[in-house]
Amino acid sequence: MLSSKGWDPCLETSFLHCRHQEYIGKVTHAVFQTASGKKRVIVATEKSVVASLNLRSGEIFWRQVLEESEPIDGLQVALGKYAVSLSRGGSLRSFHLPDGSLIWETSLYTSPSPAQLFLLPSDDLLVLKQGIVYVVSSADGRLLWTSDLLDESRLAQTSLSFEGKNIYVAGFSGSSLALFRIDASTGAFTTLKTTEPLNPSSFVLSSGVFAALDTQGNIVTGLMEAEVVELQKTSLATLLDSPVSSAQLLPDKIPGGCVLSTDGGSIFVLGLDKKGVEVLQQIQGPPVVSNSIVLDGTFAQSFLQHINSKEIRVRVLSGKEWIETAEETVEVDPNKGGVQKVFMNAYIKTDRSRGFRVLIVGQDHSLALLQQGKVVWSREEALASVVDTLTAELPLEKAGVSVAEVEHDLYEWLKGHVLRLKSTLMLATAEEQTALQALRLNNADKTKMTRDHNGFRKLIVVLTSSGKLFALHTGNGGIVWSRFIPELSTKGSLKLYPWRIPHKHVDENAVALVLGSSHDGTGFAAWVDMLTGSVQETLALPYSVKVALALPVVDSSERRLHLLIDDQNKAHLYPTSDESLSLFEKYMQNVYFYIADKEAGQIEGYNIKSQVDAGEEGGLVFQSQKIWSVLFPKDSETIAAITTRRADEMVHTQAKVLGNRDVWYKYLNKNMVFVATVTPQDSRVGAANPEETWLVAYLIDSVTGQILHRVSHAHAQGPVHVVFSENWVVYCYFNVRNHRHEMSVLEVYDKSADGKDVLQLMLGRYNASVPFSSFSPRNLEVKGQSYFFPSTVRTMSVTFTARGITGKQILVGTIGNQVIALDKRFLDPRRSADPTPMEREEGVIPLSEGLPLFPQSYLTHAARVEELRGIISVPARLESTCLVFAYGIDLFFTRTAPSRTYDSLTEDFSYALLLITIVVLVVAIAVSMVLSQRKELREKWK
Amino acid sequence: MRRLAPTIAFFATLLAIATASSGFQWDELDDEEWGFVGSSPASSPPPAPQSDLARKKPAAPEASSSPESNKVQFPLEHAFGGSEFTRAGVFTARLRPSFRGGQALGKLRLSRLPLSGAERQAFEELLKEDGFYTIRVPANPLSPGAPFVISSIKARCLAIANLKEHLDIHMDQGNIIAVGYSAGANCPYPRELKHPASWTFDTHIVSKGGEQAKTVLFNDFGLGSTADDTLGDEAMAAIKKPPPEKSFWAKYWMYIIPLGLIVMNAITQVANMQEEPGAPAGGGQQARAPAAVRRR
Repeated sequence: MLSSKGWDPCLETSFLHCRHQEYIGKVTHAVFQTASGKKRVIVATEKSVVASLNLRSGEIFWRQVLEESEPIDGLQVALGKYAVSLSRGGSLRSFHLPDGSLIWETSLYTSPSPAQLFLLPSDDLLVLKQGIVYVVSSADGRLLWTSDLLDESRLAQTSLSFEGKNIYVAGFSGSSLALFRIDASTGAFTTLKTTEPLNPSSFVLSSGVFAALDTQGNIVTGLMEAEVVELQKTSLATLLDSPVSSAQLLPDKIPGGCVLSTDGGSIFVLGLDKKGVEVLQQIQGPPVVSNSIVLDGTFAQSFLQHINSKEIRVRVLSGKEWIETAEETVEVDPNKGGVQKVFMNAYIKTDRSRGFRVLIVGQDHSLALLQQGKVVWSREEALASVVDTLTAELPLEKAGVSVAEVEHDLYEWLKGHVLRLKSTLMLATAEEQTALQALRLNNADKTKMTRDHNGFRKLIVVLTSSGKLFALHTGNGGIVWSRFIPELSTKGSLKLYPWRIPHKHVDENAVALVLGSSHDGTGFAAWVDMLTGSVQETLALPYSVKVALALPVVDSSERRLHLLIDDQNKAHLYPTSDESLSLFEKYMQNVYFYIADKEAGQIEGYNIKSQVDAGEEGGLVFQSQKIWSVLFPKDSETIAAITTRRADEMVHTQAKVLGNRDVWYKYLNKNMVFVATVTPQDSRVGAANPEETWLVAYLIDSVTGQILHRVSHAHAQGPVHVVFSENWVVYCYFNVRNHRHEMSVLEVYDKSADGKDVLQLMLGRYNASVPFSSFSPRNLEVKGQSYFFPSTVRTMSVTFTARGITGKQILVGTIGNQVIALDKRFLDPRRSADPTPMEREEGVIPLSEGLPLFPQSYLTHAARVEELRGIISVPARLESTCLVFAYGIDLFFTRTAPSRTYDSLTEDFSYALLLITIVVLVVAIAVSMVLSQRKELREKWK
Repeated sequence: MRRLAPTIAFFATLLAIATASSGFQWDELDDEEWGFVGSSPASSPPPAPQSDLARKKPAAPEASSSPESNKVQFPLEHAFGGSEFTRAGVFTARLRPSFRGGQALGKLRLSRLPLSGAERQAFEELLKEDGFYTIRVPANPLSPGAPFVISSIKARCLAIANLKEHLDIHMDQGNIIAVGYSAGANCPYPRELKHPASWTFDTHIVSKGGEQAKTVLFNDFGLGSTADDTLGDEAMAAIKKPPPEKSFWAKYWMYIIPLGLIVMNAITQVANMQEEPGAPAGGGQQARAPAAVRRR
């Protein structure tokens, strides 16, 4: 469990290039805390975060990141000072409201089954898990009592309500409804009987009364005070004065009532009491219902409805008769989708009347506070669930386009330089230092919307699991645009592809292809302008996309040809123009792809055979044929990782010159695939037998299916993390016998070129730029070595630079949610215990069993990227530098220079100091010249 | 008749040996070793009895294993550009215990069937359209059947190599993971259309068991003492090999030389100072003398 507070290391002087943004994820529970002190709202999210937000601004006061595998089932505020969360694994944790520190933690059970958390009137906590009731003291987490309502068997869809000293519980036991009454102080319970057996379709409990819908279209109510509950039946048709074909009781809780939705789209608020059931309110159209709050002894509840995409109507019903007490129409951003959840809170206005505010969770995972008919603040929580990223270049700075508004004026520029000079000469006061710091941070240069010379300013386009796209500026991390595509939010797997990156038509915008595909056999494609965020085109696909291939061919308008492989292994070509067809036909013979099936434990290779009739949906469809397969034995190997090289990776040289003047040629086959398999086993801790756990690493040519190399590691266990770059692969796994993580490297060299001199390499057929056929036999040499790695790895990546000259760093995301840059030279398979002088000259480091972690190698400094899931590196135009973007619940951006910034001056290099030095020198030269002339003259006169 | 029977059998065996050397190749292979099949390419189609004999083995059950001999047989099948798979040969192998437990296949041999007329035609078709010649073997040779391992090659590559083929059979505990199928010659793109000189496959088989990776090398003070990873490389090197003690001169030369220079400088200065009282005076007189002379 990790917590973080509002300190941002990126604001420190020395780390000017980094940006760290904190998020919490999609809110599932919220409790307002407005009684005293700071106005705040405590929220729990899908990402298992408990956080306290400032109700005035939406900023995070504190947050606690719990285990992501255990979703939060309940959140309550107890005793006015503790926020209590219930995790799926049965852990009840209490956090101190002002600072988020953990007060107590209780583990009630271990089974990962859903449960509900309630706050009893006595301020104790009640956990209801499938018919077992736990009551816990909120002061210290002590278990007060527990009772199992149904021995052994389970209660499904439970519901609970309080009335006086009693707790009422209802739930399905099989298909029939079981009712219980529990004494809140002792836990003694009574199983209630009904006059007739009940087999309802849905039910609710409300203040000791239950209502259920039976299959005959009746609403059945009963008072749960007596041992035998008398049932009252009312026909829905007579109650609602209209025939109803189907209806449902919503699980939203309304004290003394319930909410009924009918197929007509209307919502009825029903009042339940001893006398029976009556209709209190009718609301047209399906609203989103908030939680209920206690107001002056009665209750209030809000109902939200979309009038159109831009406006929301908020209606608050309160009092015994459920009268509408407030109605507001709020203008919202249509880019957020529909409202999914509402949390309501009341406050006293300055004129002593009562006001209401609501917290809404949008379809795009955003969180917004509505008050006084306005959106007070909103948080883009979709950014906590980034699934894919792309980078886009900003437009060129043109002579005609004025960027003067963001440019400093001359005075500002001079002031900045004077400040810098002072700071360099250590003359600056503390105030001037802070002014300089602010100047550096808010350097308008950084946030300009144009391309810079060094290529540091870019747009990072991120796709989130909610189906919303964002463009983040690398200068300040600000959101340049965001676009919610509702069709994508229902698709399981989402990916981004660079559709069009203009080189010739530089004044036109880059376009990204967003692909969503779900298991039900449908897909969705959208083409989005990467600079403005406008959706150019959308297309519903009648198939789910297994693999999407970006072909190395572009058409005359620089659109890249893409092949989408559907579930029947048919290939669909986009764009669907005649031009792309004629371009594709030239390459068709040489298009190969592979499909890995982790469940079946096989990888199959395919080749495009011929065009087939597209049928009704049209488009360009091609038949593929299976040409190879690799089948891993199911009982001993399951696929743990598959990785290929990045298609756009730049490699500076194919030759590697050794210390003894030998030349080795890197095997730079772009179709090489790395596959790691591990021994299948049950995931229980300690279940692995070190003698029977293996990891097998394969290098496979994906054109021919040839296994180029195969090596097995004994005592190795997953998860396996891999990076593949140039001619090498680095992978990380756990060694069960040594109880440590290991990192292994494989480097592949082409030995068929041996004996050829460098001139032949440059001119002849061994040059990397000359295409070679995978069908020709190759003589490869694979070098390998393993090292211990002193940390647990979450994810791995590698730096990419513009031309591939700069050395490589491996970016390791650790279990501590930090990013470490590890020099590739430490993972050289040629390291030996005692390197020869020649190897030393070449820079081979003496062998050590472990890889070193230096404090300076932490790219994230002191920041933590909670639940770190991915690290992306993007080359800047400056060869030495590479931009690194890490995402998890948080976002983090920085720059790294694996071989130091050898090709540029630092950003805060003082040009003024240089200029002044030169001027002073010139003046000194002139003065000394005059002086020396005079002296000479004087000498001559003597 | 009784006498005739053994004679016929004898001749049949002779014939069989003759055909074996010309009709199809036997390949003996051991792990990690290229086993070359010694056979001269036959330019003429094999005579009828040869093919009959060759088909004897496939006629046996799909792939049989007899426990006494530990021998296993399984089929090699081929297809021409997506056609149905047909029998192309039979592998025989011997079972032996694997080092990782279970069973492994050893002494793998292949008897390749010669191409029939129709197959040759299909192959010619493939050459024309630059299609794929595909082979498959059962993934589990001990119980051959459904899951197959497939591998393909451009027919033109095979033709360029004159039907010289390499089969890398990657195995693991008696399972075949993949078959690497390649031609025996370079096959640069674009592939030229060339017809094979002979119609006999020249097969080289390698069975590959995969190698085991090097484990992490422990330092002398390694695992037993829960080797401390926080130690840097330098520190580790220092512990491993204490640097030899340097001589006094080697350690302090940078101080001694400047000191020596300063001392020498001081000595010469002192020496000069002692000379100075007389010397400058004499010099002055010498210098002034000619001037005085001129004045006169």
